[in-house]
Amino acid sequence: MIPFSILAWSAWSPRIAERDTWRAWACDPELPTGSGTPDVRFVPAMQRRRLSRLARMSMQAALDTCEPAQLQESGLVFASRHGELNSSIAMLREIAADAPLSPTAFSHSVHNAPAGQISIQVGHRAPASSVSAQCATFTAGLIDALALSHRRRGAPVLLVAADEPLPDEFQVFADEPQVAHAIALLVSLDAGLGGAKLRLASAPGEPESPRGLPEALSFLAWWLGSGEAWTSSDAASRWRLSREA
Amino acid sequence: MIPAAQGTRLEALGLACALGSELDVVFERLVAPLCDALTIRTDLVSGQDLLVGEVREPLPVIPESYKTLRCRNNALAALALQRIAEPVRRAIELYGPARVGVVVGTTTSGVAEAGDAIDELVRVGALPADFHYAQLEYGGLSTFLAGISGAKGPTYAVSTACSSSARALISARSLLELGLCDAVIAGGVDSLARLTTRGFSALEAVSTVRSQPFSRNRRGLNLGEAATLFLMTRRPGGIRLVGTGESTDAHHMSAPSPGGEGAERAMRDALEDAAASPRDLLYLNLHGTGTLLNDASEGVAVHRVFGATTPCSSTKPRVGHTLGGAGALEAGFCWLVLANEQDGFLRLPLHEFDGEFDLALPALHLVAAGQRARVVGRRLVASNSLGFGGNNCTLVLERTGP
Repeated sequence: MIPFSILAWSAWSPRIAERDTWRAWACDPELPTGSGTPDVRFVPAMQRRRLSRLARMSMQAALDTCEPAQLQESGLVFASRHGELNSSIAMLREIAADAPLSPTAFSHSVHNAPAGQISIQVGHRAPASSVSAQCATFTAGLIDALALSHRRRGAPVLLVAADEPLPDEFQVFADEPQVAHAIALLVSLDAGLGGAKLRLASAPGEPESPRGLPEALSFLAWWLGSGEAWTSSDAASRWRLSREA
Repeated sequence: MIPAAQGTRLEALGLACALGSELDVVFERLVAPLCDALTIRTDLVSGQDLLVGEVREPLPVIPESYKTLRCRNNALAALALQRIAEPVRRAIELYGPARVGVVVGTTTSGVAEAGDAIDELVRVGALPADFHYAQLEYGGLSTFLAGISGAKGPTYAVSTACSSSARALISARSLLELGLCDAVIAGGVDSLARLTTRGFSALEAVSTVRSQPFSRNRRGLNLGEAATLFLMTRRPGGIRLVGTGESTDAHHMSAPSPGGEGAERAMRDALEDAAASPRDLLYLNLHGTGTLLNDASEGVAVHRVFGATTPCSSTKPRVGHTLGGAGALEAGFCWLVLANEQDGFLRLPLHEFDGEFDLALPALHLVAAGQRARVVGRRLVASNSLGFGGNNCTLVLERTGP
């Protein structure tokens, strides 16, 4: 069992971006579908046009949670099931047509591209990780963020979990609700930093929390609501989060 | 306040790369004066004969029950897992499945098969029946390894470009120290694919001849593929991961910062974490891709930390750049160096190049053929991994005991 704190949070979806709206959403959480993209006006126009939608979503959630000065000093964990899959498919289509690839498109298609772009945008030089774990990617990101906070002697780590719906070509493989979303949590193992206290524990055999949402949004609905405990999505490796009394 | 780290044991090692999958054979080929394990592939970039580090032995057949995860990347992973099957089985029996994690780095996952699938989609309008997205997604690798090993602890893939599997070992160590796991299957796997080969070609980073890191005649990198898995535990003794350093450049997506500040911080932090000074290190495995950008940045960083004293080499001319698999593979090479100590000496992997050191770079002590390091004091070696997104990691390994 690992006690930890959430020091700050924010979330973005095409339909909801404000914390108060998310709190209202959590009373009756529906899939917040839509097709918008965050404007990330804090990014200069020159850099902004190079940012993918996933990078914009991630950056918006990150900077709605932390001031740049705080983010610079925090560990960063980016969690995304699909990463820049749209870009990878576009490149595979180029290859199928035997067309040359764009070097920029290639270097911006790596899974950790949004983390790298956040790092460049705010001058973040602390450690940054980037993880993926199918339908339990949010939980993997949380575990990796706590691992990084441990390495940094309890210092805060910003977890950014973001995904877009599967591209049309792969919709047939969808095994969870599809919606663009990004959530950011500033977490720490150091109880002295304040924040809301939670506990993470292994929970083999426990049933999954009722879904209808991708894992990160399912967590958010629980976190903003009043339920006692929440369980992760991977049936083989189940984790439970609970609030400290 | 959380107490400082004590390090974790790298209990067992399984790997497959262009040099083979038998550890003794791999090590002898690593330290041999001559070794020609790279092969020509003509199908990765049309119209080009490319020298690559390919795994050429037969790979295990992925069982029917995992058919949605059938891809070369996972077959490579299965081969590496076979080599540590017995210690993994014992760990699961001893600690229980929920206490054994799987943390593995990959950048390609099954993008080779996905490329074939998209070809067919473009050609005939439908994906092939045997393709499944799980082959392509990063987390498919960790799910596959957890499934076939029986591990049910934290299961995830790390993907930070060319530092992915070094970072997987770093995360695994933290999971053990945090008490979330009693054992972790940790490492990384990447396989040759048209996407990565053409991507690096588009960046003008791929050489058609063997790479020559730190030579003034360098022409770029060779791509490779590899699977490397360690069983990591908190048990005392053995060969251990005693120091890790990690940093971010905040400079550019595909180019390292020219001053090498990020790589330098990763090396210094890893040494500090290992409670070691630069002169304690007997060998450094360089990232050493063979591109000008890497040589310039890593060269100045290594020189600032180690001067021209510490023996160092890049093993990529022997196995290719195995991208997300490279960090764990090169940690595996460091493990082999420590495991093969002979009469108080470590035999070091040759820095294979044409001998024409690029004099525009600060001096480095590159390992010559047959060179050994005398063991005095601690047996410490290290490996650098530097990835896109300015993601830098250094791992320090130590062999404990008499």
